[in-house]
Amino acid sequence: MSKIIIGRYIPGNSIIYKMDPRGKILASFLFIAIIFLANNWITYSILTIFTLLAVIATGLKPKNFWDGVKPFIWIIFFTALLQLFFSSGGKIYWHWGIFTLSSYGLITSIYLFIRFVVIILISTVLTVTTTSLQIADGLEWILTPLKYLKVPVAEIALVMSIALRFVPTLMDETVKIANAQRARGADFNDGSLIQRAKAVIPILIPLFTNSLTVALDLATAMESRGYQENHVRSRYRVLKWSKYDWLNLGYFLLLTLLLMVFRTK
Amino acid sequence: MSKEIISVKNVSFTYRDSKKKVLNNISFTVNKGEWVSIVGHNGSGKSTLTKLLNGLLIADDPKNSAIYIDQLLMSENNVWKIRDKIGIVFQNPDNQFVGATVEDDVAFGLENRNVTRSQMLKIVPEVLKEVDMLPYKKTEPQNLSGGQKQRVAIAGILVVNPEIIILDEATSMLDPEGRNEILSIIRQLQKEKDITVLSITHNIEEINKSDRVLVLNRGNLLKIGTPDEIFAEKTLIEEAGLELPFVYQLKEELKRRGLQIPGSIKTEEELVDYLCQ
Repeated sequence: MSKIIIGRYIPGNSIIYKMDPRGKILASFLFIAIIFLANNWITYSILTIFTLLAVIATGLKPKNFWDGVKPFIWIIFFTALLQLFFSSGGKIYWHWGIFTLSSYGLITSIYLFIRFVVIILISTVLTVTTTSLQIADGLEWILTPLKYLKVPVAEIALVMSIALRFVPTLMDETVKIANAQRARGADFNDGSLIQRAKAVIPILIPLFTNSLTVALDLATAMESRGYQENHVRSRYRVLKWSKYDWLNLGYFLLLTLLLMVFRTK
Repeated sequence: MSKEIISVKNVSFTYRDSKKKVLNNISFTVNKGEWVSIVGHNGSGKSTLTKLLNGLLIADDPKNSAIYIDQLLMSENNVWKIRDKIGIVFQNPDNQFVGATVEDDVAFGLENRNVTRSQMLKIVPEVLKEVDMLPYKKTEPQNLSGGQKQRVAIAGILVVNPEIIILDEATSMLDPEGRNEILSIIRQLQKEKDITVLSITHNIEEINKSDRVLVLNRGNLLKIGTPDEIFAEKTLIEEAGLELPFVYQLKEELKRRGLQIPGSIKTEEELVDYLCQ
C-alpha cells in the first residue's frame, strides 16, 4: 500500500513519454470534445484506430490498459444495456413489455460502448505516461490566463505540488497508524457497516492532527528558507515544447478533420 | 577573526496564549565561525530562541531588547535580509522537504530569491556534490533515508550561502550513522566557509566537541562557556538535565578511587595516552 502511485504512472521510454504534459493534457481535452463528432460506423472506426495507435505508441503492456477500463466495466455494460433495450427505431427484432430490441438500439449501444472505452483508454494513456508532477506543471501553464482574473495561479501551483509531494508521505503515515491501532486490537475488516465506519476514527483523527503538524512545520521551514507570499519567484522546473508535441497535436487535429469529413449530416 | 555575528540583548519572550515567559531576559553574543551548542531540558526555550533569531517570532518589549545578526537589527524591514544570512535545519527531516524531488527542494531557496534558471542549474549540482547527494538528484523524498533527507535540507540552505547555520535538533531523529555523517559534513563546511553554527542538541559528544555551550533552564540563561567550564560545574549540569561525556564520567570515577587526572585531558585519545603512561 505504501507504494501507491497516484495517477498510476508507469515509467517507460516510448515517444509519448517525451511529450510535453501541456500538449498531452490539451490533446486529451480535445479528444473528449471531438468524440461527439462521430456518428456513423466510419467515424467510429477512425476513432477506434486512432485510439489504439495511441495506446500502442505508449509501448506498455495491454494489461495496464485493461486495469484502467476494469473499474468502469459495470457502468459501461449497464448504460449499453439500457441503450440496447430501451431504444426503438429501425427494425424491431424482439419486443416484450417495455423492452424492445431494435436495430437502432443495437447500433447506438455499440457506439456508446466504443465511446466509453476510447475515453477511458485515452485518459489512461495520459496518466500512465505522465508523472503527477508533470500534470501539475501542465495544469499550471493551462491555468496561467486566469491570472488576469486575479486567480493566484502561482500559489495554486505550489499547493498542487506540495499536495502531490505529501501523498506518499501521508500514505505511509496512514499505514503506520493503522498498524499501531491493530497492535492494540483495532479491527478494520469485520463487523457491520457502522462498526467499520467507527473503526476508521482511530486512524482518521491522528492522521488529521498529524497533517496539521506537518503543515505548520513545513510553513516554518518554507518561511525560513525565504518564501514570501505574492513575491516574484523564478522556476527551476520548466517545460519544453519539442517536435514530439507538434506531432501529438497534429495527430489529434488530423483525427478531428477526418471525423468532420466522414460524419453524416 | 573574533567578529561578533550574533548579539542578543535583554530578550524575553511570551507566547500569546500563556502567561509564562518562555525566555527571560537573555543576553549573549556569538563570534563568527564559532560552533555553539544550546542545551537544556525539554521546554527550556531552546527552539523559541532559534525562531527569534530568524524573525519567525518577535521578542517582547522591542524597546529595551535587541537582536543583531551580522550588525543588522532584527526588525520588520530587515527580517528578510537576516533570513538570507541564517539557514535552519529542523528536527523532522520529512516536514521540511518542500520539493517533489531532491533538486526541486534544493532549488526552492533560489526560486524564492528569484535567481535565474541558468544560474540555478549551475548552483544546485555544485551544492548537492558538497553534501554528497548528486546521484540522488532526481529522487523523491519517500525513497530517501532520514540522514539523506537531512543532507538535502543542508544543501537547501547552503545554496543561498548563509553566514549562520542553526541545527534545531537536526540529528535527533537519525540513527548514529546518519548523525555522524551530518555532523561531519557541517564541521567541514564550517571550516571551509567560516560558517557560524548554533546547534540545539542533547547529544553529549556533540556538546563536548563544540567551541562554547549555552545552557538554558526554564527560560533563563544559566551559563555560556566552553564545554570544559560547563562540565566542571556539577550542579549546573544537573539543573540543565545533562549527563557528563564518557571521558568526564571516567575521570570522576577514577578521582573517586584516588587517581587524579589533569583537567587538560578532554578526549578519549588523550585519556588513553595518559592512562598508558
